[in-house]
Amino acid sequence: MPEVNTVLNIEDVKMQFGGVTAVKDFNLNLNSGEIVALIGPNGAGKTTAFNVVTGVYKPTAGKIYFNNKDITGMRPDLITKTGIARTFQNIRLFKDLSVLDNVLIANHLNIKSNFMDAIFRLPWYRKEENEMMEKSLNLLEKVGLLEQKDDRANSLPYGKQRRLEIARAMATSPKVLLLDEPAAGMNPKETEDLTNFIKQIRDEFDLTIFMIEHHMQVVMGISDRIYVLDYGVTIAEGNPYDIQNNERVIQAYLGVNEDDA
Amino acid sequence: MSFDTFLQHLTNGISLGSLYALIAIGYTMVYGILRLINFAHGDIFMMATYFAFYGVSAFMMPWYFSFLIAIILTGALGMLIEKTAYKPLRGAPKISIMISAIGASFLLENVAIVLFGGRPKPFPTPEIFDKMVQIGNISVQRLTFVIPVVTLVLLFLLLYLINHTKNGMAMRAVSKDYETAGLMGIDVNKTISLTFGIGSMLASVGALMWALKFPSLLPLMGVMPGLKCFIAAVIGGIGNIKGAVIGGFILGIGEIMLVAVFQNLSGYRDAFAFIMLIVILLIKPTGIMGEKISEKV
Amino acid sequence: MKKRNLILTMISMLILIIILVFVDKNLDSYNTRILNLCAIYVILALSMNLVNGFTGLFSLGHAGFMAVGAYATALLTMSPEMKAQNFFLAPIIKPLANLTLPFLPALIIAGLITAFVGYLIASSVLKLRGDYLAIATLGFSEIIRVIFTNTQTLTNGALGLKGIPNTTNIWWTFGTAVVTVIIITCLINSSYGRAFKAIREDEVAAESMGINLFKHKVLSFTIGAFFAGVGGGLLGNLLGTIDPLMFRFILTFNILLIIVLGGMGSITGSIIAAFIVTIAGEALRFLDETMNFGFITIQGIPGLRMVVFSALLMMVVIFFRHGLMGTKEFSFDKIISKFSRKTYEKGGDK
Repeated sequence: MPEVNTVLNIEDVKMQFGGVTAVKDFNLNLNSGEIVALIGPNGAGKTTAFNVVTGVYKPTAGKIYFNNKDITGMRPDLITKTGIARTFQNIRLFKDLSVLDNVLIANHLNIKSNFMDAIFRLPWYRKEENEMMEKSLNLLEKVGLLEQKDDRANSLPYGKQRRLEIARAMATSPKVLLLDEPAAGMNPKETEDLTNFIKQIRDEFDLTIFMIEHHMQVVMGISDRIYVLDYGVTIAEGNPYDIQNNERVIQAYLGVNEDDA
Repeated sequence: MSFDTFLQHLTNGISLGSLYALIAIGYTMVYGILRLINFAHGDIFMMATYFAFYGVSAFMMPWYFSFLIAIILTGALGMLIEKTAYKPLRGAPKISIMISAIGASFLLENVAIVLFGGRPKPFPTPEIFDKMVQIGNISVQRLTFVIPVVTLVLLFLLLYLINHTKNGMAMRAVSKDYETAGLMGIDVNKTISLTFGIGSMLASVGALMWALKFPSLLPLMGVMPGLKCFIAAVIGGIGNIKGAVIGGFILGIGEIMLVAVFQNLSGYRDAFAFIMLIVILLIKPTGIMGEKISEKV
Repeated sequence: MKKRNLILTMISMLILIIILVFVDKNLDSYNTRILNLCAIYVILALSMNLVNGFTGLFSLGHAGFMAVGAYATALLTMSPEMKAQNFFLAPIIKPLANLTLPFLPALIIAGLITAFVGYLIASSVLKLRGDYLAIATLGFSEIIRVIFTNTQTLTNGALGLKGIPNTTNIWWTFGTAVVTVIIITCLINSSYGRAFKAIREDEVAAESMGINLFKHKVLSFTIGAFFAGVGGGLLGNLLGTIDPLMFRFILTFNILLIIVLGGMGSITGSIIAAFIVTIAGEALRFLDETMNFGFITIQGIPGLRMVVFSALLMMVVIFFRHGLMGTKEFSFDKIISKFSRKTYEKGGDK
């Protein structure tokens, strides 16, 4: 029996903003090497769940464990340092900076040299800089953006910007990668490339992937398990086949037929 | 300190606080609607006094007429500044519009220096305000009472305007979300102009009363009061009119009391406002009446 | 490529030194003073641009830092006799009364003191965003000024300090300016500089990529304060007298004008703009004074110069928001490739 290692535990998380409960009783487990998808109609609370996991929001209640370490309410940069990286629904690249700089920046979190070492270009800093450069260039090559490395991030076409965001997240050397709608705005061909790409990086970099997605081909194509969220509440969990045939899920997406109600 | 002296200081504090409140309202209204710190507001205050001065001295108008003209002109000036310095930058990054505000402020100050000269000018003080009033053992200028009364009346009128008229509702809508307000058929430009106009006119009334109390006009006279009133608005919760009034009184009374009690600290009188600012920013940055705004990620 | 650039930079340095030697020997004191001011404003502009332009923090407290640096340098370089002369109302506090240091250590210590003050202010104020940060830094700047006006035994209060040794000369100013440019450039091009820029571009994303926002903002602010203090020190020892009224908001405004004009986020832009604004400031002085052309006398109007400056700032920010250079920098590569392309186009061999 292959060993199942739970990498991420989300327990009874509740997220309230004033009078609005965005997420309620959210429970989720991620096992090492899995690709898990979080789906649900718009406004269901999916990105809020991501934001809670990555420390952008402090949950009103509940706990989050990463490799059995309690990371609930930790600062986002510290959570990233423990090994969780993410992309954003609305793409938050460093727009005016170059493609290469975007990825280089994501290497900064592991730097050991201090700013004086950096200013005076001391040998150990130069070594770290070279390593960061090599790693970033490799990542860019992997996502097919090496040629555009000096272009402004904003000048890239949409699909490439999404890839850049993924490359940037990967530069933080994560163990878990959270992708927020990675296929948004992509045409079928791009979506297919992306699907293969996600599987590829999962295998090559030994990642665990947790993604929010609306494109059902991506979701059904590569997810090992799927969670379904509606109005902040988990209404179903299972493998793709089960989810596709789940009554509640179908109702949530398509609405209840008045004749049947 | 004897009770009478205390009362004297308190009355002065309330008077000063009212002035600060009137001016702070202008800052808070503009911030509420545009998320902009109108650095030029203090200088609009200054211009109001000079308008009145020239009205009386150059155009020989009776004081009440001169004051009225000054108030109208100041309102117009406020709207002009909005049209030229802020409107073109409405979509720009916040830093740009702030720099423009600072530029507008310096421009006004230096135009004033050029036009009016750097030497202090005496503000005409009509006798009606000068008379002293006797209350118990203390003797106070009539003006000291007029100020809070005028402030309260204006505040009342303003709150009525904001809460019970269509224009007021438009102002509230625009301050919540100006894009959507525009989509709902509200003339956003007109509403913003109106906000500047009203804020400037309130400041001008404050300015005139200030000049009656401290009748020496200088081109840079608006700088300190401007800063202090902005701080008052922040203390009360920037964007909140009632907060601006509360902040104004806290600063006015606090300042007077500080100097009254710790006479050797009088050099730090101006620093009091800044220290209050730092304190509130560290404890509750959104101010006494302010609400938290969270960013959607 | 890099070797060629290094050689070109060395040659530029040499040219600069030759120019400075020439200036030192031949230029009159009025124009020398202007050049000194230019260099000092380069340092000040870079110190502000690091914080406002590169890290995206809106700090308006520069005048306060300059005051700290100027007073610290002055008090450390003045002779005991000079100090006794100045502090006639109340004697200066004991440890400083007999302390006199040479210029370099005094400047560095002044810079470090300012950096420390900057660090304290930053730690309390950098949690605030945007407008609030601006006002808080402005507030602290004023508080510093008011404190200096009231601490008779430390700063001589409102009387200020006179007779500060005129140790600032063209070598000090340009030398420090060159060092500042080098240090800031190295910082900006390093991983830390990239972190600063990331914070400017998108704080939320930067934090999600593992950057500790607070630590980096404080770092940027503190380094900026250091150079502002050094600039202030150079200024004090150039002018010979300082008093609290010198360090009002208008000083911060002038530097703000320079970095906006040059392009917030461009080191080259700040350098160029510092020269332009300082020289123009002097050149436009005639607006404030009476001009006598012999046959016509045009009455000067005091304050007109600042009117022009304020109008200029507004026009730049409204119409040319990115200033002269935007976020671009000078580089030997770009100039050379421009010339090479021309040669190629003309049909010549590259």
